[in-house]
Amino acid sequence: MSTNKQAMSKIRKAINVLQDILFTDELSEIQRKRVKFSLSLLYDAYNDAADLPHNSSYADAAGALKAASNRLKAIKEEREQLANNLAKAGKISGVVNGVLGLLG
Amino acid sequence: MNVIPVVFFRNILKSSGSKISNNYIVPIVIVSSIISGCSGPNTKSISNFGKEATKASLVIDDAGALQSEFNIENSILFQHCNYANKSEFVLADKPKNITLDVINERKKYTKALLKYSKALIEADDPEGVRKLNQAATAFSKAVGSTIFVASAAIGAPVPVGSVTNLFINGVVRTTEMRRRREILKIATEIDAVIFSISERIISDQVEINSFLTGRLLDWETSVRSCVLEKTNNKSPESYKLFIEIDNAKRSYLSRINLIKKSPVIYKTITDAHYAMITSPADFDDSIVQIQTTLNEISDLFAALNGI
Repeated sequence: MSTNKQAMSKIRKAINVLQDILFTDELSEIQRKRVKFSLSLLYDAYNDAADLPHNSSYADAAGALKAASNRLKAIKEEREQLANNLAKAGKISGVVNGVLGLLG
Repeated sequence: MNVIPVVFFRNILKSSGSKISNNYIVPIVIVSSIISGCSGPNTKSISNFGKEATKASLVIDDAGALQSEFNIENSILFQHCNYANKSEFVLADKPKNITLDVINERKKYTKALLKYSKALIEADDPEGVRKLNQAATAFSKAVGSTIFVASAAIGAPVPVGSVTNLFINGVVRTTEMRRRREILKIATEIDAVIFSISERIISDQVEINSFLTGRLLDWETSVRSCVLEKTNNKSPESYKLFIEIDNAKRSYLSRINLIKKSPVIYKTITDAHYAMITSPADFDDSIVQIQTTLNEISDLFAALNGI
């Protein structure tokens, strides 16, 4: 049995083939309409497998991208924070060494 | 010395069956206290600040884009008419058009895609990872000497330094692997979204193309009736005007041609993105690939902005 991920991958390949035909081949108006109709069916199937709404808007996609950008920024910030903390801790450790050296 | 961390560590060591002597607990607690004391700026506050700054910049950018759009649409034609007719400059009402709304929506999507691509590249950040590893190595050395000095101060046997190094570098490596997994998870979620929207991009394109071509014809007709009918064609001003209008037309045509190629440009980045999530081993190569598509998206965004 195929997983949703495998199904998405197969549908995507089919969509890519039809898109290439649409972009590059000289098609009659009827052929173009048929390709577009097939594409819309495939996209519906893809969205079902991906658990996405049909005909989602640019605003929906932009919203998802903005949320993802913020999550990515947080990852970058977390890494920088850790590097800063380690650098600060290293400096404090040096001071502690001095104090402990006096105790010894 | 705080007693609670000492007891805490002792209990952990007992429960994990560790054979580390109680003598090591005090130096370990000193080191832990140093780490926990360096919290620095609050991560949440930085994130919130980033969110607000992004919101503000979006509003400013959108206002700027609208202004530029308004200028292109009205200024070129009416300023020229004003110049030719020596009449007062009048701003026309911006025409309501559904396709123009679609273009504006696509513009916002493109801007978000551009920002996401940049955030992805920055989150991968090999330079940041290198700095982190450097900081971890430097800290390991400092901790090693602290444990050495602390052990000597309390008369405890000196533990092997490389154990501390391995522990700290291991922890840092683990957190970096977690961050990588998180980046991949975000990218996988977004991949379906950007692929799904390509359907709308293809279906809208025919309408957008005909709108842009129609607009150019309208514009040419208006300019012709304004310039040719109301000015003296033999005057140097008229020739200068013709050159300016011709340049504006060429610029508009080049933007239209780029926008007409939109589906292929969006497909390039969608394919690069898909390659990234399906071959995590080549993650860095894929990031470079996405970086190369950034210029194309930037040009497309600029072209959309000028419409």
